[in-house]
Amino acid sequence: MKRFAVIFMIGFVSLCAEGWEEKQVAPESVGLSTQRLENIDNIIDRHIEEKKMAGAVVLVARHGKIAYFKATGKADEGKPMERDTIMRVMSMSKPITSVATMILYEQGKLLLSDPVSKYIPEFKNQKVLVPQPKGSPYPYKLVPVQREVTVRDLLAHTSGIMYLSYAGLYPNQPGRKDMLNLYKEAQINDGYCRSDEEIGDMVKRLGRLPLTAQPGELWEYGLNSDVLGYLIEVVSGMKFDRFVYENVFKPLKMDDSYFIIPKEKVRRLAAVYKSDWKGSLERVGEHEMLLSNELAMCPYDAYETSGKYLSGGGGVLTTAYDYFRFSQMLLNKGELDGVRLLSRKTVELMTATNHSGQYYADYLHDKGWKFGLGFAIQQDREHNVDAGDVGVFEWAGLYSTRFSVDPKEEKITIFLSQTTPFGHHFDLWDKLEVLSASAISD
Amino acid sequence: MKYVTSLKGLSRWIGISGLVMIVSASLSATGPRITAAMFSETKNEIVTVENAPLFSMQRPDGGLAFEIVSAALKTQNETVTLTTYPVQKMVDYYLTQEKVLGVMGRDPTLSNEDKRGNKVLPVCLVHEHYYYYKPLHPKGIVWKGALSDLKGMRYGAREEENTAAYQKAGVKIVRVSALERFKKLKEGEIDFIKEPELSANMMLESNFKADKHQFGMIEPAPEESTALIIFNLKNSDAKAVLKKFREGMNTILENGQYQAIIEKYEGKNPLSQSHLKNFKKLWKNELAKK
Repeated sequence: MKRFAVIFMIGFVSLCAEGWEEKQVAPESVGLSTQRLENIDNIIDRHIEEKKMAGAVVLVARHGKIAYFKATGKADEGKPMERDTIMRVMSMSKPITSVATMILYEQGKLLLSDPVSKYIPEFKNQKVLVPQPKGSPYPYKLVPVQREVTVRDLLAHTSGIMYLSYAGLYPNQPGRKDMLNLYKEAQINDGYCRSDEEIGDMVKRLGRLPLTAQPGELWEYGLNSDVLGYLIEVVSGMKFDRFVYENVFKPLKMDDSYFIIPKEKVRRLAAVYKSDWKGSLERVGEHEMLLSNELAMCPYDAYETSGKYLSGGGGVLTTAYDYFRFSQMLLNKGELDGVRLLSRKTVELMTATNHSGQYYADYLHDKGWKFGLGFAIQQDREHNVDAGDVGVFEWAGLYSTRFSVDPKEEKITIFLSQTTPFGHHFDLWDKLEVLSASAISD
Repeated sequence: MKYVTSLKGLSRWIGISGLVMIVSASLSATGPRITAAMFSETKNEIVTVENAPLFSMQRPDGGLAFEIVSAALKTQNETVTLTTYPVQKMVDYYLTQEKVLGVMGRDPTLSNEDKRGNKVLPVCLVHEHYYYYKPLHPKGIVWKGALSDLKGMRYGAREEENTAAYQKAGVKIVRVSALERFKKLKEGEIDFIKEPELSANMMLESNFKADKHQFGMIEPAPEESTALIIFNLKNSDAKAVLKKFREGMNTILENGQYQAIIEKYEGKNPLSQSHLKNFKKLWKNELAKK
């Protein structure tokens, strides 16, 4: 009897201590080819040798098991990249914020069709900035919204709220400059540098500013997830990071995921490297702010063990394994290891391709991708496409991080580096997707 | 030269700290604040830049200055709504393009263009102070009341502020947005700013709680400024409402309501007691101008 108890205890303890090792299997056991997955080694090694990036972690999983999980290069000067290195995933925070929102939706605390003003009154009586023809007495008119911004608009990026950094992409579009000036004057920022104010402080100012388009009229990537972060605080009565911890990170055992990193884990953070993708690789300085047109990023914020602004659009620090657990929950339609975060119906709703109407979410690929409630979904294969499948959903982060979930093949691919600027790694990611897909051997 | 908290009398301190506690509690609350203005029609709309606790949609009463306007008009059975924006540009837009009933603001924040062709009336006095960051000026900043005392120092002026007097006195001007003024003081980009005492206390309490005592108040206080209302004479109702406002102000200045509102925000202290007397003088002069 005593022996049985000891065996039971050992089994129980090992179950509690389950880490990524327990999820790793031989690739062949999940229908992937070891030999073909090694092609990933080659391409990542080559990029690091050519000093295009300092280091990376790549994870490929299928049928809920990890088939490939490697860390290559360095995380910082004198510090190798490890599988458990903590990274800034930036906009890959958005799917997490979306899931947190959908948890409240499933609790009956909000509806996607609810106007945001129901929870954040500053969003009542919003106006849209309509540029006026040259020579007009005033450069723009502020016209009332035809309908209010809804929670769904925030999730799908159809609210008309913009990012300052993306406004700069359309310098000649009438009205953009005026919008940008209003945002700047109101001290709105993209949330990539942690300002010394609560989320609500900035979101309330944002709510009083005009929109770039009528709600639902345009797909425009913007500060929507930051607004959701504050909306979660209002609806739940909890601080945003606390809500995400209690309802997402903790139940999914994402033990290395944070908005504000604990002191003892700071040493596990990767540094950010600037790369021209041609061999010039330079570590970003200790307190260096990365500025490019209207884009401002502060990698050093991640080292802070306290802070006020918690960006739902870009504030999460995590590891490849934790993000795998999050992705696997979505792939399993809301459940992981016996813990259900969302229902199948809700995940299906999040991954539906008709939230953004006729508009494509073509920032990361090409046309053929639509935005769901937190990420982009491949809608067809008519447009430029290299890999994936209809129904694949994915998103990215500004320090060159990516994830994709292929529901049909039950496959997850995660690539995390800490490389800036963002645009260079697209070719690498597309190739990784090809290599991940072509490793399927069943 | 005094500390932020070293005020002129104990009673005043108790009053202000009570106010700060009330205000900071409302600031830190995460729940939505429902005010009538947010859901009402925009008839008789007054717009301004959010500047709690003087003009604020964060407060159900709209803030000190708006509450006075609202109370004055209420005595004449007239109502007004307040809408605040985060930037002056939007206030200017609503005044010039949308013909709202009026705009409010502190004297230094309203441009001559805003005032031109419209009727400008005072609403209340605003007690302002110069502030500095003590660790960067350990010996304090010496000022005996003349701007020339501050020669060579960097003044964090508002974007729209008329700074001619400062420049004439040899003070360097750095334009800083209202939201960043205390931050820039701390970062050493500027040496001093001028801020209404009520707003400064709120800002320090909500954004610099840990080191609010590091911000010093320079004594003596500079001249007080005035919270104003500009009636937009292009608005067809403005003249009628303006008439009611004058009558209403006369009523609340005499029946104790004005003083009660001042004390609600500033506490009962010698300064708030002299407020009524000083404002009455100003009001009388303004009425005489017509």
